[in-house]
Amino acid sequence: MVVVAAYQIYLSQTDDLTQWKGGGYGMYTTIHPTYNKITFNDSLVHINFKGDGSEEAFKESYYDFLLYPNRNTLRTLISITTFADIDSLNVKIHELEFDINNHTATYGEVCFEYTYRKDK
Amino acid sequence: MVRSALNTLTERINKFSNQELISKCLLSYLIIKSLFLDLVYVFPILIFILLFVFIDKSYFQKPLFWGSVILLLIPHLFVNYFSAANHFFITIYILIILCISSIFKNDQEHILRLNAKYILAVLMIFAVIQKLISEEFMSGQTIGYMGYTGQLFKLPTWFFPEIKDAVGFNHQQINKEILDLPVTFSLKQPFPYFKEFSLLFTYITIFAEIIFAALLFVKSEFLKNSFFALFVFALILTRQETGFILLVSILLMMQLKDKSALFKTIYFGLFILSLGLTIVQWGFV
Repeated sequence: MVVVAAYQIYLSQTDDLTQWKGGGYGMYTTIHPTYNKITFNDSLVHINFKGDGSEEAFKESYYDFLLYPNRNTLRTLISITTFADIDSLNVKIHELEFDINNHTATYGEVCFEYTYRKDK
Repeated sequence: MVRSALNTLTERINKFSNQELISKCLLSYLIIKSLFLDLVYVFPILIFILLFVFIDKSYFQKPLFWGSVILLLIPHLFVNYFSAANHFFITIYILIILCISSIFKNDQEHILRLNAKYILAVLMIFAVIQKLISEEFMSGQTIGYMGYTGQLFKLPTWFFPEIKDAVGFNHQQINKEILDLPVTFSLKQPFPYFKEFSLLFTYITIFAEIIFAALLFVKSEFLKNSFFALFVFALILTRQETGFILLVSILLMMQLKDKSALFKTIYFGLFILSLGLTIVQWGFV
């Protein structure tokens, strides 16, 4: 149990795994990552996006990517969208930032960026 | 009359051994949980388990039974390692303990008590570490945002229409259709000085978790279990993590000494309350 939790902290600090998942008990330490937004080539990807796969499979891979953004989760997400055949794709995750002083929530800052190439 | 009913309830609950009561509680939760698991391979193992439960009354004392239940869930954990909820890991840990305690029947109570104590301690210590290393949490922003959008304190907000309205407005704002980025939403403060309240609640949360971990190693059963029961009750009031809460209630039942009949009933009540809220989908499974 200690090993699982320590490994989770290691991944969340050195990689992009969210604190919410992976057996590390970091729930409620950040705003849930599924509030973040994804863009493909600067176009917003909506959760009701119609890809080639089923809607359920799309939602699952969409959230999996937000929980742990990496090449594997991205590849799965792209594979069931209409972007699957595009050679190069710029993928960004825009973080939801809450400002308690000004009572605002903003989607702006990019917390993850990756250029996906089909041949790599 | 209420007192007599409570006495009867306490008596009946305490007739069960810890191994039996915990097995029944955990299996009830797993039945609810299994409705949300989309697993094809589950079917043959599930049939085997159901047969076991109906045919063998002492199923909870059989390592083969617990081994099969673990077999049912491990592949799900393996595939969803980075997306499964943290309390799914706890479910697996409890199952492993039940399996071990069914092998060593003479030391059953001791095995349950000791392991539950250390699982709860590790859980709380890591929860505190995670909070301390999160700048977002320590600044009060996380608790603040969750309060603004009704993810925390959902139950108490029912009694305050103004807070409910503000939370409803914020929820609508956040879920507006976004056409382009960047975008900023204006939100309503649930009540005055909410920033200060969020910061205070942040520190109270960390403090309560540290006290929880420390009390596990205190001898006074009454002192520690009174705090644990209040802690779980506060979790029910503030969060919708009913799956997590019911597992904590199970672990608290496990760590009890034989004589704590009253607290066994209280934890069982908290378990039933959380399970009920899970079934009606007020909380997360």
